[in-house]
Amino acid sequence: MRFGLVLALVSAGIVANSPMSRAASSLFGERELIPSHEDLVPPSEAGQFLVEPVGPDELRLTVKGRTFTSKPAAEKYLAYRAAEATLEQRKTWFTVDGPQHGSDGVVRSFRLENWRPAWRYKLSGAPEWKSWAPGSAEPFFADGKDPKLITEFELTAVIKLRSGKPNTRDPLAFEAEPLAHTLAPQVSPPQ
Amino acid sequence: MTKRIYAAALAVSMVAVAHGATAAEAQRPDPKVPLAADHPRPAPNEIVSVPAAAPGVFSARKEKGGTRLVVKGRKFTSRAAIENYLAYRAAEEIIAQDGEWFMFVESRQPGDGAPALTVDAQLRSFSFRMPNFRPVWRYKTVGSGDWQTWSPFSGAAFFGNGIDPATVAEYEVTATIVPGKGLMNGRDPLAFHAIAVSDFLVNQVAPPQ
Amino acid sequence: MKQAFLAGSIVAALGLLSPAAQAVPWERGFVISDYVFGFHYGGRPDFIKEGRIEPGIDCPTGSTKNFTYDDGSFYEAFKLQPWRTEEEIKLIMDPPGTDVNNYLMIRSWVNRRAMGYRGYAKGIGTYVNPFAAADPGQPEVTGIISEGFDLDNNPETGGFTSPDGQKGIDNALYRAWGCARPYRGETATLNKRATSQMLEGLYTAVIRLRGVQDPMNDSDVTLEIGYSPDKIQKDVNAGVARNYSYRLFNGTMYSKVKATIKNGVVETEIVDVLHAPTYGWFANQIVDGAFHKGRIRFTIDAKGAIAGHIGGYRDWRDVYAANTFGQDGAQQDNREHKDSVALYHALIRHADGLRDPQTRRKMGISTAYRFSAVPAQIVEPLTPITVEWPGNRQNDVESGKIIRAAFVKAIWTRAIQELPWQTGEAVYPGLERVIFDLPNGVDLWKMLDRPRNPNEPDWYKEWAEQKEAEKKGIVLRRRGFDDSSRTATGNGTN
Repeated sequence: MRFGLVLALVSAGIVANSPMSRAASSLFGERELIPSHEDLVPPSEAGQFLVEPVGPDELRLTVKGRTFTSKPAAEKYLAYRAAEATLEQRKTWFTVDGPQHGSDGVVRSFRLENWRPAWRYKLSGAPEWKSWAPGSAEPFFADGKDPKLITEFELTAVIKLRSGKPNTRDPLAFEAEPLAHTLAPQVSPPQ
Repeated sequence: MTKRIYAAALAVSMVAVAHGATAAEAQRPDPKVPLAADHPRPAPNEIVSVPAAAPGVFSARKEKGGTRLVVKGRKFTSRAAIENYLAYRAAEEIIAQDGEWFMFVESRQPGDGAPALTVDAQLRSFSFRMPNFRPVWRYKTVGSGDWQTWSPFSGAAFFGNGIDPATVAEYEVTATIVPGKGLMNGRDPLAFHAIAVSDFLVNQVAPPQ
Repeated sequence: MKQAFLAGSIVAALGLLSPAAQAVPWERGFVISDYVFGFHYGGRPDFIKEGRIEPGIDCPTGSTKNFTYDDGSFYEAFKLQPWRTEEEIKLIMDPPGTDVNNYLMIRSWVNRRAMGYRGYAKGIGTYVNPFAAADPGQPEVTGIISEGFDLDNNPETGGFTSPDGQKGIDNALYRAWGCARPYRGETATLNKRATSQMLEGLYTAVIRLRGVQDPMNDSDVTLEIGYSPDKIQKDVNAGVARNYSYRLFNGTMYSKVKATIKNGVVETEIVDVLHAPTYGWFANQIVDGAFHKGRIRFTIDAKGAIAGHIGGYRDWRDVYAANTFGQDGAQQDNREHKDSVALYHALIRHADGLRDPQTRRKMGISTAYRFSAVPAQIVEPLTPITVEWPGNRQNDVESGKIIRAAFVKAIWTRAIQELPWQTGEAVYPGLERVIFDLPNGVDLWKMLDRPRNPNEPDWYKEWAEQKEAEKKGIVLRRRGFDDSSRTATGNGTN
């Protein structure tokens, strides 16, 4: 029921910011006592997180903020929301496009070094947006800058939702549940 | 200060090594704390076991819903003693099959009054919760040819029907278990870990007569 | 100027040489500065639930609260003994006589005596014979993220994913014990105690790397790990000072293994048994970890410090013994809010390795220990060295050996073992020195009865004599926790 509603909202391109429906309750009601990962993460404000369908089983995720803390903090939050969005759609894993890193022969559920969202930002005194892409030759825009100079930022990633058993050999594959469990104790929406 | 001393120590020890002495030779014996595996294995007669039961006292039969275990006797001692023996045999049955745990199958009937079990509020896992091992009884009293049955799920007290347990001439206690292997869900109130049950009961039980 | 030119020339010349010709033997040393169970914490400061200590994705109901006065946990522990009446439990938890001097200390002795005897029948020492006690239950880790290694080289088993995504992590000890309060989160009192004891000089563990290529990338490295008799040197911030010298003792807690380094990540070969010190807060706990299928992995950071894990299957009896008999089990459980009987049962359920061919029981549990270390000079000993305990800690070690032997025999034979009287595990005679101060002390003492030491004196008579002497201003014996008549652990010496 709730799942259907969420799906409808996403299909309509409307902000989806509701907690994931709980996993089906198991024997003797133990699920009631076990928090889900989304219980741990503080809620984001309206409009701060956007999900837009861009194709079949393909979503563009955007996180917006005004107080820049660090690149990993913001990117991990977006990765967490990507995992959550995947589970919300009853999918098990997602993939991203981009160059592959970290093919170390180890079977992994995810490789965060391959989670590389695109950024845009505004600096104090300059009203226009500037962009920074992870593949660009430019260093990360905030490196060496006073974070207070960054007045607004957005980071975006496009994920392809997948079902079934994840391809753990694919460096660009992310298994949603372990990713959500890893990040839930660490991430918060940017201010 | 210490650093200087050991720098000197290093220099001298390198000389010692150069002269053919090894670091091992330069060390005093290790006052080793024996690990568990270093202790001698007990002799077979030191290991506690339960005497074998007379033929017919215990039986196990594989059925559709699990393994049905029955203990039969003629001399009623106590509910706990006999049920514990059945639990012990259940655990041994699992160990013999190379299993690790079993699920106790409750034989609830429609209308039974005993409340359903719930998960522990602190979400604890248990190797066993003996009060949840609740077999069904039937018995005959002296001079009576009819079986009386008692279900722990009925809500009625054990021998709450006014019959004196001392008059029991024959009894059968029955439980159905489903064997399991691998990691047991100890949060399930009906899960019993075979080794833990066996070790807990081995000093407590004897085959019924 | 001339020197700079020469140096430049050498660098340029080296740059022209082939990689093989560049091989320069190098050596790096480290002293371990932090060493605890590799238990991944899944809580966060802003996730709070009333009545739960640090709930998280790892432990939904938070850390354990065993033996906490105000939440009924004492009652729960004692009602599992069918031979205790409700009235008895009430008397154990709240003995009459609250106005007696040192009442809380006396009550603690009473509690601990009862905690130490929780078998299916009266008089069974619980911590040496944990199998004979009903399982009080242990909340287990329900999260799916764990530190450690894929010990069985099977990504489909183990059930955990590492924080960096690796599948198939085997760390059953974490699942079994990861919610126990003294090893988890902000309340990890025993972890903190262990680290503080290590920094105070209880023990020192060191690592030495030797390679032939580059300290950050080398395919031919030798790693040594072991105990050092040299006390850790602290810096002005009470951290571990860098670059001090430590001798390495190649005794029973020592291993020398092959390793590789890729981009600063050091990974050893897998060895049948990796010998290395384990961590603890009493001398009797610092023993060989004997990690089966053992291995070490750590990362060298930009400042040359390291952080990583040592893992393998450990004999769970050693894990239990170290974490129960540091002091007497009851004293430690009471203070740390864990229950070693529950932890014993959790070990039994989660044992996943070292199957004994004779008994077919799994005696091993997969685990990983987390450590960090700072650069140090590891040197050869000049004179003979050995394991050395500060102060009178050798008593702890001897006592620990006796208790361990009794415990191992209990587990192996399933025969109830008598408590070794000369050790603190008997929780005796501290209680006997104080209980008669209570108005119903004699009755309470009889209720708490347990098997007697054959040479036991008449405690009540001793107490009465002392009372008489005290009236005359004479102190016959120091009372309470301090008991010099015993060479046991449980004397609260650190």
